[in-house]
Amino acid sequence: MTTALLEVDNLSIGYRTASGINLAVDGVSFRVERGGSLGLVGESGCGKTTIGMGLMRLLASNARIVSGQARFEGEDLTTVSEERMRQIRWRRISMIFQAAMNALNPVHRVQDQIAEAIITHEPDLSSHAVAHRSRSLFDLVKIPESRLRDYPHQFSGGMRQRVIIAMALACNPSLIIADEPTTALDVIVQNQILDAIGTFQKEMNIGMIFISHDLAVVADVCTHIGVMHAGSMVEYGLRQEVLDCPGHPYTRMLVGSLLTLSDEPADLAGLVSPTPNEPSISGGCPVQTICPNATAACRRGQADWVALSRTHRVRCQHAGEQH
Amino acid sequence: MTTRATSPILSMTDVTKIYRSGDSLLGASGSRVVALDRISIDINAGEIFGLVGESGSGKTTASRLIVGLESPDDGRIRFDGKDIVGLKGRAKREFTKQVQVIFQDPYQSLNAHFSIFDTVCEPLVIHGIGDRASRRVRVCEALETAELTPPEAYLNRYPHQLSGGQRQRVAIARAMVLEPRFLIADEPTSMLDASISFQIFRLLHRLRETFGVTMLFITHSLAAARNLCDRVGVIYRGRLVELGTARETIMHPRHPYTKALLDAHPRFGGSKHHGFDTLLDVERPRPETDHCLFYPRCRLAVDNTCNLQAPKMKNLDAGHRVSCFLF
Repeated sequence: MTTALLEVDNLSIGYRTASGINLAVDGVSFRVERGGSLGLVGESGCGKTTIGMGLMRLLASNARIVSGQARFEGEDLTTVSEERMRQIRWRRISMIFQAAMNALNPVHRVQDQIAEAIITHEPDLSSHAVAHRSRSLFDLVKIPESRLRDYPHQFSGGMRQRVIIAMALACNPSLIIADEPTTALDVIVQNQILDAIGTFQKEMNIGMIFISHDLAVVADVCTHIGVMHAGSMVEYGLRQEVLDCPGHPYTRMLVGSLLTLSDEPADLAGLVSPTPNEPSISGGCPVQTICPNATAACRRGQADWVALSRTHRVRCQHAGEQH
Repeated sequence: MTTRATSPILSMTDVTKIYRSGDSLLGASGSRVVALDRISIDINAGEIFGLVGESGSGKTTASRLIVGLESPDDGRIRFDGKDIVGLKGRAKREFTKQVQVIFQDPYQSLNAHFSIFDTVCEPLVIHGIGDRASRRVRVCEALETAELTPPEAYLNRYPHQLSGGQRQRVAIARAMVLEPRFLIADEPTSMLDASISFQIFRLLHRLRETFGVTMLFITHSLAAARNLCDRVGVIYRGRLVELGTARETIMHPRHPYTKALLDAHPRFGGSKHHGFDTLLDVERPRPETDHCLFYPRCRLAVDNTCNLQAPKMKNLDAGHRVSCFLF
């Protein structure tokens, strides 16, 4: 197997609290290929954003990487110096944040903001080359050239998010981390942004980690899906494997709660979903409190990974027992 | 859906709401925003009616007008045949008892200083219903209705001790404690995770089945509307563009805007891409005169028609109505 663009191995990230270290990410492993895209799906608080921030080394001051490795283009992101990280960040790995369109500077023209992103990281570039690259970036995210000299307030939310995407692409990164990039947008705009992301990803052969709570969106965009719950990854596989034959009870629940469009409405009354228990984890499987199949074994300890196929694995004591 | 009583319980006729910003100090005149433009909707007793639109389309304004938080600038809103605009005194109280709202954000709609008992009991206190003992019974029943069981375990807790889904259930219990006939659910799950949303949809569905409560369900999600509602209305920039059964309107849309919404819907799990392709890549300039509001974005627009006047609602088959010159 060729070396992946990013190989995350047993990554754990903890927050320091009054009662000790609280693991927000607990032993997560995955890989992202060049040109591939991994969707990290999970509900709020499952640790998916912490993974993104950890890889960018932008964690809050009370958080730190407890263990694990993240090999990216021959370097371990968890141990490289801050100096080296500054060179990697934005140039090699860039990030699109949720509602980032509100982060544009209101008093500068969008074209100057893009140019600034390029010049900061590639100071040797001639002004002509900078202008040329800004134009091609705007072209890629489908912002008409006539709008380059506009200010952010003259743009709609979707257009501003396109500017943010263009900025993330400014230095030709090989990996992009997109954290809920379309959550604050309307459905038509969301679709256009997802199309734009899909286009650049293919055209520029960029690897992507796409973080979202919305399985339907991830299913549209990603080649691989990793399902997270309470800091752990519980299932990982090719998109179609995870969607068509989810191996973990939690994934089945997520897939089951997806409302789709069909000639017959879902049987809302008939579908069984778990009772709304509050998660209170004290060892064992992170899904035990909401899992309909939980047994004493699940409370004793977390299951090891079980391979369902060469590309599809699941972390459940009872994997393979059902269906 | 099965045939239900077809007399409208709520009837909006040509309702218009315009928000005006104040004139500035320097003498510039304020701007006008037409939030709702001549909207007419009848909601039948016992049905779940979905109002679908993007942010800013006016769907929340519609709900605020119906509960009387604001007054329309034009048009009539009737509940049970009686005009609700300008209701006062006893008639107003009777009306507010019958119409209740579940708001979008359960993190903001619950008072952090009220225990769950106080929260759910407050409507009873306001309407002077029952004494101490009977109120407690009714609060417990409402909590059970909202599937917070055992209710006793929740009475003395505070909102911050509950999860988002549980808070929204408290909001539902508060709405149901007066045994209303009409419930407005304004994006009740947009702040919640997928599996929790699903449970809330199921609960709303059950409320209708059990109590026969009529519902106006406001959402931006076609999938939610498709799965929960009997009929839906699609609203675009304050105007109703299409109305019909959920099945017809969402699975076989006629209006170019509804088609665009459907095109943009995540194509999860093999559900086919419709490819209506009704959106223009580059928008046209907005005409000066009255026009179809979707004209600037519509690939199917007919020049000298769509840009010169606003289309009227036309009846197609089986109660399916659409506001578009193509029909």
